[in-house]
Amino acid sequence: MIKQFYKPTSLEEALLLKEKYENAATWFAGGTHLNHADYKASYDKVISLEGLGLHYIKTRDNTTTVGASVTLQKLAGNGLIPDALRKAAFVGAPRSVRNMATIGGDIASRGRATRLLPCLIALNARIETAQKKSLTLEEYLQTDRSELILKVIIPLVKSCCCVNSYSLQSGGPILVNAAVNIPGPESEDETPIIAIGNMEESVRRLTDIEKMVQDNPTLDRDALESAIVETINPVEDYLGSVKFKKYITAITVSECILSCCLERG
Amino acid sequence: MHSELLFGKGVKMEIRFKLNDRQYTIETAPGENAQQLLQRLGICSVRKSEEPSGFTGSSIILLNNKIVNAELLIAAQLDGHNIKTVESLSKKGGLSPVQKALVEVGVVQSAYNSPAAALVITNLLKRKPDPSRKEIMDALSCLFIRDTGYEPYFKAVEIAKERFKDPEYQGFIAEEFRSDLRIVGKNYPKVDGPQLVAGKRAYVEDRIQPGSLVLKMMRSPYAHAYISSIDTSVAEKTPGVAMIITYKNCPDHYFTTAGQGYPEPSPHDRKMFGQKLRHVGDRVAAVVAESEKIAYKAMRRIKVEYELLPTVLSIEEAEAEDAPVVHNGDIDFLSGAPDNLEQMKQGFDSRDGRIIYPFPIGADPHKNLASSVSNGIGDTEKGFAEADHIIEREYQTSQVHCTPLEPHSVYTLIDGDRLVIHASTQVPWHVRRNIARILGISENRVRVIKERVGGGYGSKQDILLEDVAAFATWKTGLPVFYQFSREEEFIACSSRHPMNIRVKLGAKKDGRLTAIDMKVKANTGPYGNHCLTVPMNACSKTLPLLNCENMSFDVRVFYSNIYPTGAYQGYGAPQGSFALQTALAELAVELGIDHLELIEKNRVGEGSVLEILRCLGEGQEGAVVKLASCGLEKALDLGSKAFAYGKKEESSDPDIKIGKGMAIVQQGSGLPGLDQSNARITLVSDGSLLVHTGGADIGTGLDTVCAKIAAEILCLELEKTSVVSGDTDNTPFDTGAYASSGTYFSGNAVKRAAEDLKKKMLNYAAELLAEPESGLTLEYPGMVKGSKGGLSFHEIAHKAESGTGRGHLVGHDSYTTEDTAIPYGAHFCQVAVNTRTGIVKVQKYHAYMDCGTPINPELAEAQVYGGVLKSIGHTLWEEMKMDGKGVCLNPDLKSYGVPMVGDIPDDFKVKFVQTDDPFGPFGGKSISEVSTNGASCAIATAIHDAVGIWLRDWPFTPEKILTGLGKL
Ligand SMILES: Cc1cc2nc3c(=O)[nH]c(=O)nc-3n(C[C@H](O)[C@H](O)[C@H](O)COP(=O)(O)OP(=O)(O)OC[C@H]3O[C@@H](n4cnc5c(N)ncnc54)[C@H](O)[C@@H]3O)c2cc1C
Ligand code: FES
Repeated sequence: MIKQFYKPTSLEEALLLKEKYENAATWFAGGTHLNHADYKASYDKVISLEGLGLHYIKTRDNTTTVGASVTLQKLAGNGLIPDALRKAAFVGAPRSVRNMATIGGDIASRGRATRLLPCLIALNARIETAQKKSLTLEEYLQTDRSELILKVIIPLVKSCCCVNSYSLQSGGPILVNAAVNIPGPESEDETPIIAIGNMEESVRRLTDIEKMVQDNPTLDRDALESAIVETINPVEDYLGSVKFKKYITAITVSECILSCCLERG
Repeated sequence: MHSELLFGKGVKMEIRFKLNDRQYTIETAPGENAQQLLQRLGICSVRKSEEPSGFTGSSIILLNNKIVNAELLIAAQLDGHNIKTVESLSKKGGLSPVQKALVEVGVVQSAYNSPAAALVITNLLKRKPDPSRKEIMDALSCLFIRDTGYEPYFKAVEIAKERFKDPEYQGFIAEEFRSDLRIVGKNYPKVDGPQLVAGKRAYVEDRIQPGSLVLKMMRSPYAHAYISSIDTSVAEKTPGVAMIITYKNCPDHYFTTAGQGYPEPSPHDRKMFGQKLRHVGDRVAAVVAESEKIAYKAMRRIKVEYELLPTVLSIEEAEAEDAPVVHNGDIDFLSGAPDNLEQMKQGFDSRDGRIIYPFPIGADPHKNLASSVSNGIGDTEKGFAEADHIIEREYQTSQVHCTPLEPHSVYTLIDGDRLVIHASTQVPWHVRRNIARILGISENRVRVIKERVGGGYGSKQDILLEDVAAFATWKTGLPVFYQFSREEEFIACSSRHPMNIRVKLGAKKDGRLTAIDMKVKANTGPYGNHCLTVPMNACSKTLPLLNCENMSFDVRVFYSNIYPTGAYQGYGAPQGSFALQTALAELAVELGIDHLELIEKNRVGEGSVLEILRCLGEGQEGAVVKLASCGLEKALDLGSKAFAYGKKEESSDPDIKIGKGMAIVQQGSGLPGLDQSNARITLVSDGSLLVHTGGADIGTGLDTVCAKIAAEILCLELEKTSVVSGDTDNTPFDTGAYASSGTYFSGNAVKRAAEDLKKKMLNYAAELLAEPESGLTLEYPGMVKGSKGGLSFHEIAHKAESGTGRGHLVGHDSYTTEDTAIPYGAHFCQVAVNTRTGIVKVQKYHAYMDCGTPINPELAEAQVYGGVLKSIGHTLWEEMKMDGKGVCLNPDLKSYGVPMVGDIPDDFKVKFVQTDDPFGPFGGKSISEVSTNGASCAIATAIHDAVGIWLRDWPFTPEKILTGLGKL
């Protein structure tokens, strides 16, 4: 139960509070995760990010910077945001949740269910924390939970990035959430990125598949699908058997890869 | 200023916000849920239909003009902001254009989410004054709507949009019927629509007075166990606990939760609490306390030891020779005890309690057989011998839920020496009877008030929480509120019986049926409520669709330890229809004849004699019926043309295969010979009308049906006709809202009462005008006309009530019948099966329905959309999943898989095929249940047409499709 709700109006104040209460205090953004019935951990002090002015989206020098408090709805509706990320923000949550849930909250929930993480990974996005650390999302996922995310920095998309997800019905849980980035011919120094969420315990890159795509950009669908089936480890639950989950991950990811390849030409 | 100073250190903080343009400053715990806070401030339109998840949308508010879920906010998040609720839309008392449009198109039915819908659409039109279908879908994606299938909302948006430009705009609402009538068959706003869409107090939860106790139920973690010891002594000492009820101190009275006519065709196989627990979530103890928090605290202090028993989950397990026995108690019969009773009850265990049968229903409980019946007409053996072709197929259906938005709720209190029950029920009189018996008091001491019902769909035909709250109030003398959580809605509520149905069909080469045999096995779960009648409906609402001289059926129903089952819109017919209609489609394919042709060859029509009904009465002998009205011919004609049925469609995407399917459906209109409705109509002093009917309007518009019928007959404006219904103190008896009886029974009772009042008014007017009664007529609006003069209703009422008058004029009558009015329909659909993803998209679904005269066309239409979408949900997604120990794995709406707006067919249409039924009021027949019977068979047939596989078990998940296609 929340006993204290702090609403600092500056970053310094927010960090002082965090320093004082350490792990007893929780960052509080949209609250759609923290206030959800499924959220079981208890916390009694929260520090609201509302007054910290992290609601901006800016583009400069080939990068787009998104403040941590930007909502999924704002993300989905903003022309400065890459199409793939806009789509990821839109899919799977009704408008009423999109209006509250924030990009910072989505990243920091680090849940196996995430709307944005695979796409942000595929986009080579970095986050900047209050300790002025600049981290890739993969690096962030290894860090201490309590670090305050200030912004997300998304480089210009030169390559082709695509997201795709699979759910049984429009309002139902997302079984797999995939994002793929395949560098275009003009950016040969980059390598493909393929990330999935929701299917396994945590979000991760399918490095074997990335390598396969890198080595052989004209891969056929069957080969890709068989390779993906081999590389993932879902568990059976009420949504389906292991076999089914492997299969749909394979088709969801390969669809994404192939459409990227197609676009890239 | 430092935030700590601003908000203080305690658990309370001061927050300031604007609510509907009024500034509020309140002290609250910062973590208080915002939905609860708004309720506390008297905003009852912001409701809770699930634990905080943002899925249903019942708690939607505007936060700084953005749509958000109040349940996902805490009080502190409101601080400094501008909040608007539906109350802001109808500030001057009138409805806003959006609210009006919602009422007009007929979507304000169970209405629990209507205020939220009004806010969502208002917000949409502010953002996008001319929204596309996609944008409307996005806006509606935050609402779960169960009753009206989303489609009419698009019409409401269209109308509201135009009204913002032109307040006089009249859009198309729904086709109207019966040009010879003034009110019946026309679109009129539902009488309780304005109140509900404005978010006014209407439901049980809105009646709670400060100082009421709450009841929370401790439930079994095990599917099958005895309570070997239970100690509540420490829990009882928790400050604020008023009472704890267990099997040790509850009334020693056996009953069935099924709210059916007495004697019920359901076994009395449970007490309020039993020592034996028969499903996960079965009642262990009720804690009645001053607050929820105290109740849960006390609950944690109850010490229980269980003796675990092996569980029985499937029908196969239940019927096995050495199966664990779910009801191993003593057995008794109130009538018709079988000769082998002593043998039947041998070896009973007193910890299992008793089972009392009002009359025999073919049960053998110690063998887990809850009921059974078999019968037939003609000679099926001979019929099969004459057939050129025979097929035999087996179909299975899963356990699906009604999922009303308003959870089951009850509020009980003492008034003088009487018990008052505010209930969200379909059956006020059955509640009164049952509760009086459970408490051991006479029925005059119990008053049941049916409040507005925020969705029932069958699940509120069962008495699932009224008994325990009533007992707590009776014992403590204090008001008690009890409302199910969403999880309890899944684990402690009635649901569709899972069934396993074998269909055997014999036919000549040309498709004419020579014999039909249906073998139904149903799983009733832990208790036998509706255990005979629901499974029987799998036959009684499907076999009479076909002309065949030789038909037989066998129904066997088993106890098990799955979650409870019971009544659900369609009442067994959706399962039976799936099996029989799909088998017919399979037969057509095997015979190489067109599916539609096979249906045409075998279906009934006007004048057909439904011989089979003789052996399909509910617990009694049925009657052969000569079919008086049937719209199947026209429905099939319209559907087959609209779909170019039989013509193959191709998709440009090689992964997508398109197929078409159809099914014919029927239901009943109440239970002739069993149901009864009564009505009373008073001519009020100023000549207006007050209709008292026992009928339970559960959102469906029954009150509107009654008002319209009375106003039509008595030639008065609808606005001058009010309805009081469903209150056992103030309205006459009615068996209740089930078996599609409302329009037919309650409507006919009102019609008769109106005719009675008309007779009395004419008779009195004749005396006053000194003219012969035969020369007088009623004339609209509210006049009696004779050859010389006339009188207004006001004048008649005034005279009647004067010192020299006859006494105030009241018409009353009751309705019972042996006549049957059967609603029909033909459902057509087109699906796109994605052979890579296994996903089935219903592209097009049309329901052509014959409900005689649609009395409320727009309400009936919306209800069909709702029924169809529910059944599409059952067919494709919905399923309660259990682990091997009988624990539900998906007890919330999102994981369970209810359809949302994104799942509706792209082309979704309902069309009425009007017929003139001689028995229904103004030719009206029932509508709601029948619409749930077509989707599974139409979709199964369409999937086969698309990809050549038959799916014979609900739901048709992508996993099953992919397996069928050999991809897994
Ligand atoms: C109907 C519904 C469906 C949902 N579906 C999904 C889904 O499919 N996938 C999914 O991922 N989530 C889902 N969620 C959960 C949630 O909406 C998202 O994770 C969301 O993005 C959280 O954002 P928030 O701002 O509301 O976070 P909050 O609830 O405020 O916080 C979430 C977590 O992030 C931390 N946090 C927030 N902001 C920061 C920051 N700037 N720096 C550091 N830590 C921070 C908090 O301390 C907390 O631990 C769903 C929620 C709902 C209600
Ligand atoms: S965004 Fe999907 S291929 Fe480029």
